[in-house]
Amino acid sequence: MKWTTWAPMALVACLTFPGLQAPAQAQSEQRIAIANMVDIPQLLEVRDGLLSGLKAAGYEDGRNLKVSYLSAQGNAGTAAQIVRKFVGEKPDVLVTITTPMAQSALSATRTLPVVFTVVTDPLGAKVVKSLKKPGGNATGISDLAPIDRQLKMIKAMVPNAKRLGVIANPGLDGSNYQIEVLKGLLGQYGLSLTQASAPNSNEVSSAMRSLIGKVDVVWIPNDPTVYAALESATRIGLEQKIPVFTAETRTVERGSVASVGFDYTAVGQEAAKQVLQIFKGTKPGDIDVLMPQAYRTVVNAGSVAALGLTIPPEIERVANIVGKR
Amino acid sequence: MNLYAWLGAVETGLIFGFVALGTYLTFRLLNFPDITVEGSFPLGAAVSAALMVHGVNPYLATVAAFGAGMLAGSVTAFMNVQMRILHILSGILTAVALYSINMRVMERPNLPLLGVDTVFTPLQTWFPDNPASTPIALALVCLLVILVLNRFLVSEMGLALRSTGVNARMSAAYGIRTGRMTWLGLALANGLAAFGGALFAQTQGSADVNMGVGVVVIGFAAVIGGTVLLRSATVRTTTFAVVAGAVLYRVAVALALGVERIGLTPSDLNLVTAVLVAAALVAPGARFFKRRARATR
Repeated sequence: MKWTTWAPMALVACLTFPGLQAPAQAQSEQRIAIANMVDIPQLLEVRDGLLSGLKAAGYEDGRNLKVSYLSAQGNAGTAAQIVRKFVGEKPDVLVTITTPMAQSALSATRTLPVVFTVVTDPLGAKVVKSLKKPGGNATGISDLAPIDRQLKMIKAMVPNAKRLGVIANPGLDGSNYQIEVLKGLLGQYGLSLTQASAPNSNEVSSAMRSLIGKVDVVWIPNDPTVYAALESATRIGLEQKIPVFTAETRTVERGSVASVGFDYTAVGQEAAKQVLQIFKGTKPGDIDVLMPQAYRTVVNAGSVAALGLTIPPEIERVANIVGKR
Repeated sequence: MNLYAWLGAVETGLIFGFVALGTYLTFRLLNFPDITVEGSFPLGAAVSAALMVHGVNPYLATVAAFGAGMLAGSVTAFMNVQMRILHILSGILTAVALYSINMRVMERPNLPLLGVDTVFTPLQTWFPDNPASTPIALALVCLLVILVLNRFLVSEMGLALRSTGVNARMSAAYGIRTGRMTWLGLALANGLAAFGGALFAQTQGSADVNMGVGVVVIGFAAVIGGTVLLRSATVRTTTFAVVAGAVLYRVAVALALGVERIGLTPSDLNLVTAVLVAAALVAPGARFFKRRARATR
């Protein structure tokens, strides 16, 4: 064999040989590994919320906490490899972001503690058997928004709305689940539903355009794909005088009219509480699966004014007002 | 890089090896750049998962996935051969359409297989907690598929398929029905891709409609990388090289995942992978190596 053939192989073999790993960590620090499916703003907020939550409890990256973070860039094959790499590193807790990542982690390990986030329907995704004391090695945070409260708010701010439009990525389990929940509530608010799908972020604006003339108001569920290009929907909404509401509260700063619920940073911070419990020795199976409970009401005064709406006093009293009037 | 990461790379690489074998059939032997695999890979995952969730035997479900993939390839072949749509375009159209089909098959974007019996379940009962059992089993299946494929490629029909790729007009003049051969190649290739998708879903704990992202790239990279790295003259050894190419690609990804220390961020992963694959492709083919290679030949 020529050296040009064996040299790269030898290099690969050396780099990959299991014996040549970093030496074992000092016992005093805790280690967490975060596996993300794709680097998009909302999912990065989950990670940052998690780290800030841990920091508030005294665990700081580089001091007494070692954080490993990897993202699969949307590639399922890479996701599988990230999970296996982390399982091999045996961190104290493996935190996953998105449903496929949680499923991948749980098919790779049944012993390592897993805290999942951004799994909207943990039971449907089969990552846990029950929400209360789930058993096994996993617990986590669902990002199911309080859709009932949001519909109530929509009716309060746009009283004569009859036709509701929804933009979502049909390829995301979480979005479909939220629309299922929504469908069960529409009747009591006297709303009809028109769906527009945006399988990727580039199609958000055409999905929004397809709703023009068919709907009085648009609601966007917790859908990272649509949120990544949210401005393209809200801009058209302002032009066409169609109020756009979002399920996540931070997105209100980006031009949606209002929201009631939580933001993705809160999802991460809730997950941090579960991670801390596991650090203290609680088994993941004994920790309930939760949704962030501290709801905030956020209203964008700029969008409200541009659309000619008014903020009802009962909302104004509790709301954080963002944007310029 | 730890043992699990290493085994994970081999496991994923072997699964994408089936896609690579399919890509080799179409891209190299038939001279047909087939994009359909981007849809047939998740199709295999969807069909097998849907069947298993409804209680069908996992082995049967995996075979059914192969059949579904063959159907998908047939659609592309029909568009290309009968409707005379450009080869790349027919593949793209089928792949796009399969997104909707996959949603229909699963009735939702993500079908979990956690807790469902899969073809890998017996392994977990025979060798509990042995991370090497799945890669070894996959290697054996891969070997079997390669041997069958090699036997096919030197059969009369296989030779007809290969000659269609080399010179379709001449082959037709010799009485080969080239349209049929294109159809056969595409059906087999997408059957293999769907088979890989079915196995992938079962190792991943779910079938997801977004699973096909990047599959085509891996297929092409594996075929080109495998044939360049392990330069082999015959079709029989090239099939092995192609699967090795897929494994090496995943090893490159695993290496890229492990370089976080030297100031690279996770978002650099794709760039690092591309550089590693490009380096692997270029290194043995650089000019002064080539001259020596020619001298020794």
